[in-house]
Parts: sequence; structure tokens; C-alpha cells
Amino acid sequence: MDANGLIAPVNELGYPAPFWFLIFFRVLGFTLHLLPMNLWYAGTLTAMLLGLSRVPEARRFSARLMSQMPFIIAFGVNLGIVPLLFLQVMGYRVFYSATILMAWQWLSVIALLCLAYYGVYIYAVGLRTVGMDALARWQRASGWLSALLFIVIAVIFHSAMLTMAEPGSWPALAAQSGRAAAVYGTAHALGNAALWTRMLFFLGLAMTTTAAYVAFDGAVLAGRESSEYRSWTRGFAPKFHTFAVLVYAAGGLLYAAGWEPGLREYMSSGSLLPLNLLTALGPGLPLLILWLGRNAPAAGLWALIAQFLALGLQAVSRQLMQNQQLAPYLDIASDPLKMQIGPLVMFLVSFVAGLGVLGWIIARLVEANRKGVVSGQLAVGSKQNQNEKQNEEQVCGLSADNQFLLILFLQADSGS
Amino acid sequence: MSYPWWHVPFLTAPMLIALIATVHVLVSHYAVGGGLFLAVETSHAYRHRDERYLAYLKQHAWFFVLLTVVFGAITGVGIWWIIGLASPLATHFLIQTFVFGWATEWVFFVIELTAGFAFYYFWGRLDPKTHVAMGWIYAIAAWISLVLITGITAFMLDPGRWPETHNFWDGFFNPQFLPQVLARTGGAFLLASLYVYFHASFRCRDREHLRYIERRSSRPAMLGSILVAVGGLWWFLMLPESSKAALQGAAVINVLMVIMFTLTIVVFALLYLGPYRNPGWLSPGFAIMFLGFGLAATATGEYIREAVRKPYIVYNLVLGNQVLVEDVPRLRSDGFIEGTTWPSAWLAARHPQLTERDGEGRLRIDEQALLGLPAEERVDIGEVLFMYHCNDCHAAENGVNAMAHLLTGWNREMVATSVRHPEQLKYFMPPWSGTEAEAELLTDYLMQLRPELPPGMDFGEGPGRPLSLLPGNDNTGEEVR
Repeated sequence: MDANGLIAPVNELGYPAPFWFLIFFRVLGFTLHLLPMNLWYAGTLTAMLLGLSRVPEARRFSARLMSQMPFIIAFGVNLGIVPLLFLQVMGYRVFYSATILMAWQWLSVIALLCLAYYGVYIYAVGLRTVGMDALARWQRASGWLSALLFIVIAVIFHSAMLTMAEPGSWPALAAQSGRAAAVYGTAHALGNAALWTRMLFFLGLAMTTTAAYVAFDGAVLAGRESSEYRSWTRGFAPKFHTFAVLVYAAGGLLYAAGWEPGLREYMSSGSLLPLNLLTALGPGLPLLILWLGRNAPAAGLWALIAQFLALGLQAVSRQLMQNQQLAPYLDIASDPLKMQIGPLVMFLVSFVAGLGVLGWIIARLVEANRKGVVSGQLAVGSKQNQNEKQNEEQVCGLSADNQFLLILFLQADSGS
Repeated sequence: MSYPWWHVPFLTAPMLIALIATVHVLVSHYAVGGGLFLAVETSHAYRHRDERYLAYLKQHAWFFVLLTVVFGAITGVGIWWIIGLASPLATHFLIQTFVFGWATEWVFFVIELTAGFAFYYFWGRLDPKTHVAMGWIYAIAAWISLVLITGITAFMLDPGRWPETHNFWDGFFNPQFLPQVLARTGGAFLLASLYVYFHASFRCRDREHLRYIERRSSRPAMLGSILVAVGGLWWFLMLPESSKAALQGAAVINVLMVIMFTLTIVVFALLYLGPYRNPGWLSPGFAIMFLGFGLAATATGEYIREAVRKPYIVYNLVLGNQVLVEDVPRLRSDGFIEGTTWPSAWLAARHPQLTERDGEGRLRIDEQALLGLPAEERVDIGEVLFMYHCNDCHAAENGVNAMAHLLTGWNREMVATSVRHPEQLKYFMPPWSGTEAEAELLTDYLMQLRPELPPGMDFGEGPGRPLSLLPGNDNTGEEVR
């Protein structure tokens, strides 16, 4: 089959907002999604590995991150909705076909995510109730299983996005698992070398985010922790970030080496070269901050901000690359504009109002955090609750409410 | 249809939508009603300084978070996933039409999540007023989510004036909007109480306290039942005539309707006689049965709501087989394969001699030449037509509405007539959207599937021989001509 003949035609419904608006929200949404997604992708595995360490501070970080993970996942999944929604609006001509080709894999993301999510909860609840040292084997296993499942989910996402950007691969994939022009949805891109180099590249990137987060945790969130712990984060983060950058660079070089000559030429063309160089070197900035700020308590905060900027650059470059990959097949900017002004205003107003409500909630939580427990209110003082509280303090050094606050990227340092 | 068709043997892909959607709905209603329950009851407990009740509510909030934030949220994303796979054209249609409705719903989802976590994880750290406010923010955001989603899903059953105006608001505030909001709000109240009974019956050891919880939740449940009944009736009155006819005419839906009404009446009666009038009945067994009945009634209702849309996915706009209603005349004149992306590419690869590009680069297929192909090739093309035109609702040999079973004992003329006029055979089937030549090819394929009458059956002309329905037809089933 001719791949050009498999691209869905332009739909007359048109785009409900200008192209730049849609692309802006897609890139913004993806950047926001990347931060928590990187943390569950590389962070879960890192936390589980550090949990095996004999260094008490490493184990402490492991417990802290895994206790925070339920919130990270909740907000990460939520923030993933925006880029996917706008991808479907702009990329419908290729998105649906690519995911249908590997339908069972794509659908399995839901089941795998559910399992991984509950696995994380089981582990985190175990940390709260019995502490890391007393975790039962099945509780530990659920943590490892979650780490594994997040990697499997990443493989599936990379497969789908790669397939979407390479319609040229569709005829072979359809032949792999088709019947009467229909597909069984069992195709896969596991044999595509680009899948694995892309995986390595993004794993490295996710590890840099995790490293920056280690520093952020020590600098901003670990007020109740010992000075040894905070010192350990300042020492570990730059080393881990360096290792992550090496993985990122190796993956990136291998990935770029596999690009079509046309794509490589485009990405290194005059107007795009500065941007793409900046993108490629982006994780270098947090790395620099981490090394230079080893003795500066605030370095962790700046490192995470720099990491966020690096992720934003990644999102922009990735979008440009995807547009270019699809260019031989379609022009995603060519759909007619059929502006929906009223609904757009509704969205923007609710978006701004929503930010206001979130701001109010966060302000109340910060205030409550400063005050501590409200006296006379709800004394659910069962032994189990007391144990939970004790474990939170001893093992995580961070109570559940603090963990929630940090997800909101607050300086919820109740100990300071 | 612009996308590849996902062939799921036995089950058919759209049945996966029903499966995931039904499971999700059972939790999503609780996510709304449970939020209201927690806001109202926490406020009540604070006002009365009822620490024991607050302790229970905190336990319930944990159960609520674990079920709704994880399972509810992920299966909600799951619906989005599965509709894109099994019904891509309609999904694209709904996303493009209502993208800012979905985006607005996402804003409320973020608020819901934040307020929900704050409500549970800051229990005991917020002053009562702020704590209750968090509960209310969650509850209101969750209910607005329900309203936004209902506007879009109700559009599928009746898009109102949208086809004329293509205006977002005309589509959103469709005739089905208010009835469904009312019924769903009621369902949320009712299911939340049933979940509370379920949870409390296991967690609450003190019988007296359990009775208290039972009584507290009986009123919202009764109110929910009334709203479901009023909303359901209103929903029925506002249904398009085709849906009303489907409700009355389709045997499966009839049976499901009886099941749903029976279960609803049983739940209502048990609520009234038990928790409302005689609190104290609640035991784990009773609560499981109660919740089971409630969930079964909800699931059945959701299935019926989906089923009565037939033959449409979006009423008068998108047909059940992923064909836009406005495209039917063109497909009937130019050909179904020519008008569908993947089948036309498949045919061009398989039989390049039958296709050519016109001046505008569009693929043209020599329809008449299709009939000149060898029998095996005709059957293969017929199977392509079956996949893209019929497999949305019909499995082939075995499974959901399997064609082989439906056609058992049919002769070629009956099959050919049904292929050409499915909407006359059953008005809840989409019309034939191909050419005469393509109808012949599909008939060829279906005749290959069609089994003979089960052996041993005697209708008066000897075992295994059906009665001659038409002069000159021996009803033995003709092979491909």
C-alpha cells in the first residue's frame, strides 16, 4: 500500500481556534506533563534502586519520593490530557491510524497504568504504616512492578508517537497484522531501532529531571530532615545528573544518527540550529547549577527551574521535528479555521478562574501547614494512625500533606 | 471512514467501548455523589461536633480517594482511549466540535483533584470552615464536570439545532441535556449512598453508629431515586422517534428495560423499607446486594442509552458504521471503497489495474470491473466491505450478532436484498452505502459465511429442506456466481 494513500483527508469541521493557539497549548501542556511524567518514569526506578542502598540518606530519599508518587501520578496523568487533546485536534489525520495499528498495546496503557498506580499506592501506604524496613515482600514487589510497568508504558507511548510521525511505516505494520484491509491492532514497532534510541534519549532526560528533583527536595522540601540528608542531596544530585546527561547524550546522538538526511538537515538548518542546539544543551544548565551550587542551599530550586526550561525547549523542538517528519504527507496547518469564539472564551475564563481557585486552595494549605494541627478537631487517634504519623516522620521525614504541597511546587517547608 | 478498522474477532471493537464505559460510569457517578456526600456530611458533623462521625467520614474519604482518583480517573481516560480506537470518526467529530468543552472540563478536573487531595490529606490541619469549603469545591467541580460531559454525550443522542447552525451552544444545550443532567445527578446521589452503605457495613463495628450512617444517607438516596425517575421519564419524552421505536421494538432492549425498571423499583423499595423507615437492616451482605442492584440498574441504563442511538453514533450525523450521513449518497454513487481511505489503498495495491487517479489526484475505481474478478478475489473484496461496513455491530462467524448465525438457511436473494436495504430490514441498521457492484461482492462474502439449516429440521418438505419461499428457488444456497 502507498503510505500517502493512508493519510486521512482534511476534515471540513476545521480548527476551532487559530493554529498557533492550538500548538501553544499543546506544547505548554506537554511541558507541564513532562515534569511529573519524568519523575514516575525514571524516578520510580531510581527510588526503588536507592531503596536497596546501605546509605541511610539514599533510602530516605527513596521513601520520600515513593510517598510522593501517588500525587505525582495523579497530576501527571491529569496534565497529560491537554497535550493529547490538542494532538487529537491537530494530528487527527495520523494519530488515530497510528494508534489503531497498535490498538491492543495502546489500550493496554490504561490497564497497566491502573496497576502501576495501585502498586505505588500499596508501596506508599506500606511506607506510612510499617516503614521501609518492615515492608512485606508483596509490598516491595508492588513497588518494583510499578517501576517496570512505567517503563513498559513508556515503550508503548514511544511506539505510538514514533509510528504516528512515520506514516511510511504503516503499510508494513498493517501487513504485519491485518486482514481484509482491517487491522488486528497487534502491530508493534519493537523492531524499529529508532524506538530504542529514542527511549534511551528520553530515559536520560527523565533521569536528569529526577536528579534535579533530588536537589529540589533537599533544598526546598526537606526542612524536617537532618542536615546529613540535605547535604547528601546536594552531593548526590550533581553526580546523578552527570550520569543522566551522559545517558541523555548517548541516546540523543544515537537517535539523531538514525534520522533521515532530510530531517537532520532541517533540524540543523540556519534558523533552527540555535534553538535545537539550545534544546540539546538544555540539561547542561541545571547540571551547571548543581555542580556550582553544591554548597548553596537554594541551588536545588534553581536547578529544577532550569530543568523545567530545558523540558520546555524539548517540547518545542520535538513539535518542530514532528511537523517536519509529517511534512511529506500532510500539512497540519492547512485545516480551515472555523473559530469557536464563545467556547474559547468559556475555556479561557474557566482556566483563569481555575487558577484563582487553585491559588486560594494552595494559600489555605500553606497557612494550615504553618499552623499545624487544628486543636480540638477530629481526634482520630487510633494506634494505627499514630503509627502512620510516626512512620511518616521517621521514615519519610515528610507528612502526607507536605507531600501533596510539594506536588503543587510550593515551598512548603514546614520545618523552616 | 478515513481510518483503519480495528477488527476484534468475536466481540467487535465497539463492544469494548461499552465494557469500559459501563465500568467507568459505576465509579464516576460515585465520584460526583460521593463528593457531595462528604461535603454535606462533614459540614453536618462539624456543626454537631460529632467526632465519631468525622472519624468515619475520614475513613470513607480514603476509600473514596482510592476508588475515584485512581480507578475512576484512569477508566475515564480509558473511555477516551477506546473511543479513539473503536470509533475514530465519531471521536474526531466530537473532539473537533467540543474541544473547548473538553478543555473546560479538564480545568474542573484539575480543581477536583486538588480540592479532593486537600480535603483528605489535610484532614485535621484545616479549620472546619476551610475544610468543608474544600469539600464543596470538590463537589461543585465534580458536578460541573458531570454537566459538561453530559452536554457532549447527550448531543450524540440528539444534536438539536446543531446540524443547521454548527453552533457549539446549540449542540451543547440539546434537547437531551437537562433530562440527562437531572437523571445523572440523581444517579450520583443514589449510588453514593449505596457505596456509603457498602463501605460502612464493613468498616463500622458499632451497630448504633451504623444505623445513624444508614439513616443519614437514606434521604439523598431517596432524592436520587426521585431524580432518576423524573430525569428518566423526561429523557424518554425527549427521545427522537427512532429511539423510542428502538426501545419498543428491539427484543434485547425490551428485556434490559424490564431488568432496569425491576432493579430500580427493588432498590427504591429496599431503600424505603430499610434505611429510610427501619434503619438497622444494614449488614455487609445486604449492602453488597444493594450496591449490586444499584450498579446493575445503572449499567443496564447506560447500555440502553447507548443502544437506542442506533443506527447512529451521533443522531442524523454519524452512522454506526463510521459513515457520515451526508456522505451516503456520494458513497452509493461513487462506491464505498473509493470513498474510504484504507480500503481504497488496499484495493489499489491489490488490483492496480482496476484503479486510476483522476485529474485532481483522487483514486477512481472501475466498479464494473470488480464483478469480473475471480470468485476468490470477489469474496476477499466482499470481506473488506464487511469489515468496514458491518463489523461495527456484527462479528463474522461467531460472536456478537454474528452474521453466520443471522443468515443461517438464507438464500442468496434474501442476503442480497438485506445487503441493499438493511435499514428496511431493521430500521436501526445503517443504510447500504455502496454501489450495486459492491453489494454483489458483499453478498458473495456473506454467502460464504452462511451455514445451511441445522440438520434434521423438517418444515414439511423433508429434513434439511426449507420451504420454497419464491418460485424457482430451491433455497439450497447458491455459491458465488
